[in-house]
Amino acid sequence: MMILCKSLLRMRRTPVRTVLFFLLVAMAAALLSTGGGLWKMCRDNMIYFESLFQTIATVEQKPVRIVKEQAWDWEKEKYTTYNSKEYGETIPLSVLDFEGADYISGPETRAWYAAYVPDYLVLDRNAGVSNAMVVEVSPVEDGIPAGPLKVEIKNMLYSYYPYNSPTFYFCDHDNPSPEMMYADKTYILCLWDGLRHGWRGSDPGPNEFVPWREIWSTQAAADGTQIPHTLSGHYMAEVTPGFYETKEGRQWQALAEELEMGYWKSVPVTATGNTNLIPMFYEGNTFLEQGRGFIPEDYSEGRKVCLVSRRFARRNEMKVGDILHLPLRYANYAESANVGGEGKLTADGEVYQVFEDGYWEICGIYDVVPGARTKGWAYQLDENEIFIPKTSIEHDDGGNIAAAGCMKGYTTSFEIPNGTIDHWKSLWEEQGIDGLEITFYDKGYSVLEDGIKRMKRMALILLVAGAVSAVCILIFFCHMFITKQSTRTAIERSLGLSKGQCTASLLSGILLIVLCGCILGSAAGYYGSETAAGQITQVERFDRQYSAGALYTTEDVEETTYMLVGNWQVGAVTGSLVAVLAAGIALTMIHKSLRKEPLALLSGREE
Amino acid sequence: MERVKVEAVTYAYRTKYQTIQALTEVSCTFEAAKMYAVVGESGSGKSTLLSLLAGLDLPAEGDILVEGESLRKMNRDHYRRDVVSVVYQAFHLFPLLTALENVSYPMELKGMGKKQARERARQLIAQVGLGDKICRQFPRMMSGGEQQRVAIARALASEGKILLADEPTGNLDTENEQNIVDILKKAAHDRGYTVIVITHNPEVAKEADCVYRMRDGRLEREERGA
Repeated sequence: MMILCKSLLRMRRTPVRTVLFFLLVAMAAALLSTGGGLWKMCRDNMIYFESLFQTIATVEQKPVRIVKEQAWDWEKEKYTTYNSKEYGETIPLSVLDFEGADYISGPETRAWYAAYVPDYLVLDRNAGVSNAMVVEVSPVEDGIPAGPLKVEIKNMLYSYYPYNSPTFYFCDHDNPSPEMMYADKTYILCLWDGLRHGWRGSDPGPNEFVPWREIWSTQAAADGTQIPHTLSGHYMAEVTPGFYETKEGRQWQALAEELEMGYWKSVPVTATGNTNLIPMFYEGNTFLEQGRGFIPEDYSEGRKVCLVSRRFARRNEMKVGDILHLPLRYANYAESANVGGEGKLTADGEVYQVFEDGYWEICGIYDVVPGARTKGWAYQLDENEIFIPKTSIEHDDGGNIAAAGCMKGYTTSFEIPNGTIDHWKSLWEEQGIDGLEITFYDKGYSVLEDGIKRMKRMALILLVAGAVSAVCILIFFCHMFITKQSTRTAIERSLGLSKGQCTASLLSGILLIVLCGCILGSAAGYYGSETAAGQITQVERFDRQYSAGALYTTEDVEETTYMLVGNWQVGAVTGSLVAVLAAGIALTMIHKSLRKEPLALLSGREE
Repeated sequence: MERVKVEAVTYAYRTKYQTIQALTEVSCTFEAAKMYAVVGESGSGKSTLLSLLAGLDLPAEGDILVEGESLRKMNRDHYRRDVVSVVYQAFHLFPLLTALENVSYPMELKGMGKKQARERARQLIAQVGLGDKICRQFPRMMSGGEQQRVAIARALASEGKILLADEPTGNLDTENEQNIVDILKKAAHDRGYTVIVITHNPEVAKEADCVYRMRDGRLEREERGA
């Protein structure tokens, strides 16, 4: 105690030097604390943002050319020209699997599966959608359907809605040279009420039906190539005695059956390896109303869980935990579930049979944000769309692919680590593959990352400046207080102080000042980084407006605030480091000073 | 009474360029209540002998016995604190402590209370012929003679048995030189110290009860009047 008091007494008697030492140590500690605090905050934020942000890319095959096509319109009695895209050879998904591509999810081309669910209520019968039918008709009198031609219903094979009138008008609207239809013949047609003639004007005209589906197949093999077929491609055929015993007749029956199964009794089931790859989920246009989203184990273990839409769940009074029976009949890799039509036949002209008959537990019920902006109709979700982990499908769908085609933005996507877009692009360019349009989305992560990286650099500069100044200050002042005080040490030694007591005498005062400086400096540094944290928090909250689902989960917003609070532990650590550094430098110098023979110093003898 | 016995002490030390044979088989005795002078040319080994007597180092060969006990077996920190005191040519007071604090330092180090140590320090400062005014002064405010007196007071404060003085008058004028020599003599004769003064100054040596001459690391006793 006496040694400490004497040490402090000496420091008190050199106030300028002592105060300067204290202030400089405090400044170095403040720099270190601020730099360390900011650095840690940036690191924490990056980790937090990593969990919050995802970087995905959608992939779309570019058309090789745009061609002008013409379609006849009997209402206008002229051809209408429209642009059509030609895609050329389909580029396989495998081109995205190249050396160095570091994917978190995907790349995947998602299929939606038609699940035959006759026990569930799929659509509201009062929804007022257009009618469609597969119907046998005879014209009331001979005529060419180059305009509304009144026909009489002979046999209704399928209709969306019950059609009570015995007649309706048929127009082969897009066919510039329709053939004569005879009143004594019966024809089978697949039609929908296109309301073409006069529907735009004040006179709606007759309730006109136009051709809809033809006998056709787009069935593809597992590798995506079209399976050749010999189906007629007709949307109208003459029904003769024994017609349904013929191949074509059975195909017309199959079309009717397929439409019956499809529209009222099927729901699209989309299989994915990550819901964030789906633009509507990624953009935050969907949110969980009940339950949970998919967790990694759902994908990795192929758990039979599903997310159902709120409307579907309400219509069928379903809740989280209910089990859904989903017999999957065919896969559609080409079209969006929101667009892909019914009436898919196999290459043999038959109805697809169930290839996967399973039960999925509802883990969550999602809804779509009202008025959500999307890129297009195909990107939107079907109102009954169900999502399942891709890995939960146990059987191969290779024999039941109703449609396959080139990659589209709404079917194909992948996820890469945040901040690696440029790296991925440079690797992709090295592949030399042209023909794909790859669009990246990161919700502003790159901008945020740039800002944080700038701040991290600043933090690093502060850290280095703090560290360098701390070392310089400590070396200089330890030199002043120890090496330059070697005579004092020698006197103390000659007065009988042991080396330990001399060490304590020299060290105690220095350490006390260093500790006080560190406490003040660290506190100032904490305040500095806390202020910076406040500013970052505001930026972050602003950015969260565009993040997936965050708008609807208050926990996330609270977490945002929590994560960005400055960290007092950093100040404690940096302060302690300065103190330890001071002790280290001081002890080294003391050790060196004590090695000198006291009398040699005091009597002036040089050794 | 024989207080210090130096027995065939040999000591060498290395400088940057060479090894110096500072002492060669030095033997001598120092008795209580006597003042000794050790004289000799620069580099003859006087300061080295002082260093060994002060317990700051140990001889390479031979031994130093203090009241019959070998320095090698003693705790040399305690020896320096309790038995021996050193006064230097350059005074070597603590520059940031006042005269009173400098003198009370060894006593506080030995565990004496601050107040008691200060009181005793005042007495010692008075005994070396300095007034109370000097007590609050820092070394830089004192003359050389005053500083040396304070240094002697500090040496006496440890209440040891041996007082070593390394050229104590080297930086002083004649008047102060005599004062210091008187104080040292008084310490030997009145207080029973064994005072060993290393000096170049024949006037100082003349005041000693016994004179040793150091020559090329060897010690010879000089006869009075020689």
